[in-house]
Amino acid sequence: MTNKKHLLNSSSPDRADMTTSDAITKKLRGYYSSVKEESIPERFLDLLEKLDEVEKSSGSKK
Amino acid sequence: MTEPMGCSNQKPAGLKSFKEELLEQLPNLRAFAMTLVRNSAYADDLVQDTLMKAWSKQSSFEAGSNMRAWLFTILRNEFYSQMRKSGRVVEDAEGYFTDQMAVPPSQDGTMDMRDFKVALAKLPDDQREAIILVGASGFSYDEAAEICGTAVGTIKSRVSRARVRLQELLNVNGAEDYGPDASSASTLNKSFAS
Repeated sequence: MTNKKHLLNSSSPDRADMTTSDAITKKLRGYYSSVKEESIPERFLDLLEKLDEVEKSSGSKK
Repeated sequence: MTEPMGCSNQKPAGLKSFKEELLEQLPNLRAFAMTLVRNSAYADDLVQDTLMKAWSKQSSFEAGSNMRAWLFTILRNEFYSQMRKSGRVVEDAEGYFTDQMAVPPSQDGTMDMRDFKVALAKLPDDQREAIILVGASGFSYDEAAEICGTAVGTIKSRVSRARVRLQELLNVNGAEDYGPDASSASTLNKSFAS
């Protein structure tokens, strides 16, 4: 999965006004990354585990 | 698009499973949900619905394409369709979608996180999502336009209106508003603009 990155890393000149950081952008990013850094709640890990199990057990149907 | 994918239901060794890919994107997806709707319980419900939708639609995900953009699109669609179904109008967003909290006024004129969250919640949904996608999630204007199903120009104008509105709400029209903080603020900004 290498080409997944190219979209996210693309630094188009379009984005210049956003990367020229100001107080607003800085605050927004701070807020966003504070959520991003939280540990993933159990419920999501459980859910993915269950979905995976269901798929595996019904694998023959596919 | 450049990656040659052989038989799609064969999983080459070393390639991440769909579950692993979802796990990898979870922190970002949650951050998007949490900033889009400030009520954290609702945001997590939205993430859960998105994961289930994504799982059921996994065959429609093109291997090698942008998983994050794909998930964000699903979450966004979920959000708007749930709003429509429940008959909630955008104006209700502040009451329902934000946590109830008393916000003490900042004492020193600095913009703290709580003020920011409140201000962000006051933006119209379309402006809020635009500024989050472009300003925090790291999408280009093109990608944000695709996620929102709108034109690039529309995204640009939403982002710029969002910024103006946030500046008004937070009273940060210029460095002079920071008083003694001005120099440290501008230093921070410089270091941030990488």
